Amino acid sequence: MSRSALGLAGSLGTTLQRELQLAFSSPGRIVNPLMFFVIAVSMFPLGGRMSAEVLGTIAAGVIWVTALLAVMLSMESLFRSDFDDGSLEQLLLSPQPLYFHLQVKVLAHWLVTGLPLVVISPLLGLLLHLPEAGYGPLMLGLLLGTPALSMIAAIGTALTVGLARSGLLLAVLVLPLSIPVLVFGAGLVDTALNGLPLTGVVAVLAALLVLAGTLAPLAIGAALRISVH
Amino acid sequence: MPEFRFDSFSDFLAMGGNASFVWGSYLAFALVVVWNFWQPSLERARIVRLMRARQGKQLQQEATAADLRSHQSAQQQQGEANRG
Amino acid sequence: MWQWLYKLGSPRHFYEMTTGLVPWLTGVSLLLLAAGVVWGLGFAPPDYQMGDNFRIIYIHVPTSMCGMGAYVLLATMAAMHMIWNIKMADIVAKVSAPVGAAYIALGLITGALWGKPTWGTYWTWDARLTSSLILLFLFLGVMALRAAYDSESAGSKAASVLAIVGVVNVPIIYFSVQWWNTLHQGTSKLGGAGSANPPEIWIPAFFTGFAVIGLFFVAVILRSRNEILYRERRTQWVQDLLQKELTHA
Repeated sequence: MSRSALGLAGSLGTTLQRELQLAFSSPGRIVNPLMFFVIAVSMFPLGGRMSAEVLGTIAAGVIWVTALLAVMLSMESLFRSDFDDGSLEQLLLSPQPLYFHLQVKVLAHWLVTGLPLVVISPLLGLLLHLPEAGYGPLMLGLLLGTPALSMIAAIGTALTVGLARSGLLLAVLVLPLSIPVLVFGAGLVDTALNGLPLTGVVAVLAALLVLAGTLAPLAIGAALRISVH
Repeated sequence: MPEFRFDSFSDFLAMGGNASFVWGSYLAFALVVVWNFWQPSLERARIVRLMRARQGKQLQQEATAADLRSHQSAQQQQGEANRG
Repeated sequence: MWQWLYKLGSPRHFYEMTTGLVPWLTGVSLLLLAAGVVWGLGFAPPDYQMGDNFRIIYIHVPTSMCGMGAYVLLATMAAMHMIWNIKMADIVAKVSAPVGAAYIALGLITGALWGKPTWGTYWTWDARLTSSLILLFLFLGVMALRAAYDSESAGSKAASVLAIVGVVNVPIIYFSVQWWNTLHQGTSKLGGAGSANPPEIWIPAFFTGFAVIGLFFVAVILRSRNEILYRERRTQWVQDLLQKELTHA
């Protein structure tokens, strides 16, 4: 390994560490998306009198859509403080390769906001009477899908970070783009409940994650350059 | 030569019982076509109005500037006359 | 050819070149439209399954397809704007969004009006319908993002990035919706006009098809010309042009 590669890995490690430290210093960053996830999902059964069976059939869709919203809303803070204090501008000017830095930044953000959603999802499956065969695929799907959603949502965040009120606009931009992940993620649970083989769907989800992880940083970088200038 | 497929005009309007669907579709299409011509002409009129207003303001400014100048020179002349 | 394209990239040349083109394109498109609509509504033989309801196809298919083409145009122009910083490409990208969105919306409305008497429902989550709906959302997102920026240049660049991200996503969306559709079987497949149909049925579709595309470009050109006038309002040639117009009026 060359020295520059080591230097790169080192600086990425620093980025990761800094992001995680920031998150743990303000626990709201971890807790808020989680609370949103749990509360929003428990609204659905209250919205109408549904039998356990009906709830079970919509459970995967409800959990996935809510996870998508939670990821998206938590992403709003991704570049906000960096933008406000000017460190984003410094980052764009720094010799450090932006592409990998952005990948690591989104990954760190996902570890703090997305991973807890995956961990707590079985509890929500329980609330919605998800059939037993669905739990494994639900968690596996969210594990592969939420980082991809984070990447996609980060594009929207980067495009709107310079705007004063961006919450609703962010949703308008990001939701249509995240449909493939939603379809295959929720579809994985359906596939399992129908007793069909899962490998193909898992492979597609993994491919979507790789695609989002490699292409999104390019778009995020371009968007940040526009937002800063 | 293709022939007219309906026995009467009212038959044509009825569209085999699907009048609201067929004519509704064509109406929606007609609205978009009309809007696609109307919007640009409205917009163009707005731009021309905007530019005319700006030009008018500019002329007005020039006029007041000229007015001011003549006023000043008149004052100057008056001052010179007073001194003299 | 290249020089012609190069010239088209300058707003002033675009404006001057399209001045003579618009009346022609409008006239030909409206003539084709009149021929296609009269033929399609009155003279094409009724479909043996759908009856007279199939006459909606003559506007449904061209508007949907043109709306999809409009998104490709939007993304291409956005890419040209991002890569070569061509002003004219941004103008076309900006104005093709509302026109394309209107066409896609029209395709959805006429599709619903066609679906109700044909399959008994206004809406079904068919792959094509769903993709069109999502395409409409993408159009609206691009327009909303551009409108949210105060600065014209930042807004145009941001909208360009989103349009390009969207066009990468469109095939994936179509593929995913199609897969999802096979998982939830039960929605009937859209029956397209087969090639076995007699020419009296598909010739009017050609007429309305070219008319719809022609009218799309007329709308894009007219809106582009306004955008040029507005953006270049401080230049001498626009001032002269409007002066001439004002004295004529």
